[in-house]
Amino acid sequence: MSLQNLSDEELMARYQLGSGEAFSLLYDRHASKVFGFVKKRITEPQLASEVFQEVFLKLHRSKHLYNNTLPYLPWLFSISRSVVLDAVKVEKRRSSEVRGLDLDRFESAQRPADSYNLQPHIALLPSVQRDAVELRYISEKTFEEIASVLNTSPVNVRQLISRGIKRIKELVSEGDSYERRQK
Amino acid sequence: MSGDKNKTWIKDYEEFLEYSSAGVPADLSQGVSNQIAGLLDPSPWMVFAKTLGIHALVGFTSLSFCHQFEVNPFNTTRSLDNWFMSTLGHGPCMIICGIIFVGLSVLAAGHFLTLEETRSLRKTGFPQTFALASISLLLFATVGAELALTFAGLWLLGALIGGFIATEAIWQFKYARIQRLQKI
Repeated sequence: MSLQNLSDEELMARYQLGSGEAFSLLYDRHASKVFGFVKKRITEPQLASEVFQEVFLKLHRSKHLYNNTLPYLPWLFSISRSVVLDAVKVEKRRSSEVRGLDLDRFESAQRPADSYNLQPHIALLPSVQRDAVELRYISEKTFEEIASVLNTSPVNVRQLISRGIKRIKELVSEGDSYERRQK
Repeated sequence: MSGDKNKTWIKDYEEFLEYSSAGVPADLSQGVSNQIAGLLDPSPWMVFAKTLGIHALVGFTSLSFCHQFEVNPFNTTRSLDNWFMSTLGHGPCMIICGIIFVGLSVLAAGHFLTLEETRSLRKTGFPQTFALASISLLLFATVGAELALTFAGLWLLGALIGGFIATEAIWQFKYARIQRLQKI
């Protein structure tokens, strides 16, 4: 019997047992739904691609939990939706970090009389992280532009900046607690 | 799910079903296909590395209740090997110790391996178990165990039997679990 004639649920049952062909057919049938759904909610193309891939990786990781007496599409949708929601949450948190701490402090770092000068902390970062952070918040480049300057991928740039911010936060908090101890 | 959340879910789902013509870029599709193909057919080396890591931990811990070649890093006074030795004799004791030492590790590895990785382990079961057992024997020799050829051979035979039984057990368990799910 050709796999083409099988229902989504039957294909899923085969995929659960390790059939790559069954996965390919399911992918051909429904990838566009997932892609459209992701693209509508995540406008940045690079991130949308990552989230799209993550949907299928999550589908693979949780395929053993699928009960094939239940319809496949709502299950695929639930996975897609949860991956998109997670990505949106992470993005929100990232941008609020940028707004709440980093940008304010970077702006203040430019003013000499300001109480918070982040430049010494930035200087302590490893060179690639430092370049990425400066290009993002001082030169205000996009992730893609930074990626081309640093000759790496935008995903890696995000990670570099995220780690840089985390490290700066640690340095700031270490500095604060040191000052408190001195007082 | 509350009423509002339920409505949002249904609305999103209906919208999801409508995206049947959104073209997925070919390179993106290729990327997903490659990733899934890799997960469906994992490298035996990667499976071996995982199993070896788990074996290092489980095998070492098992020395606390079943000393191998008198290697006793936990300095415990009671050991299963004494009991096997006194009740069954030296030869069977070596075989059973081999079964326990490698079999337990493979059983534990089953908890962390996916169905595909377990299938890969099953396909390459003999060389993988042989390598695990040989590395273990080498380490025992390194820490000063006296390995007589006959007894080491019997232990190796036990390790191969233990590895085979454990691999089959975890495969049957994982396979049956999926089949059970499909019959619900």
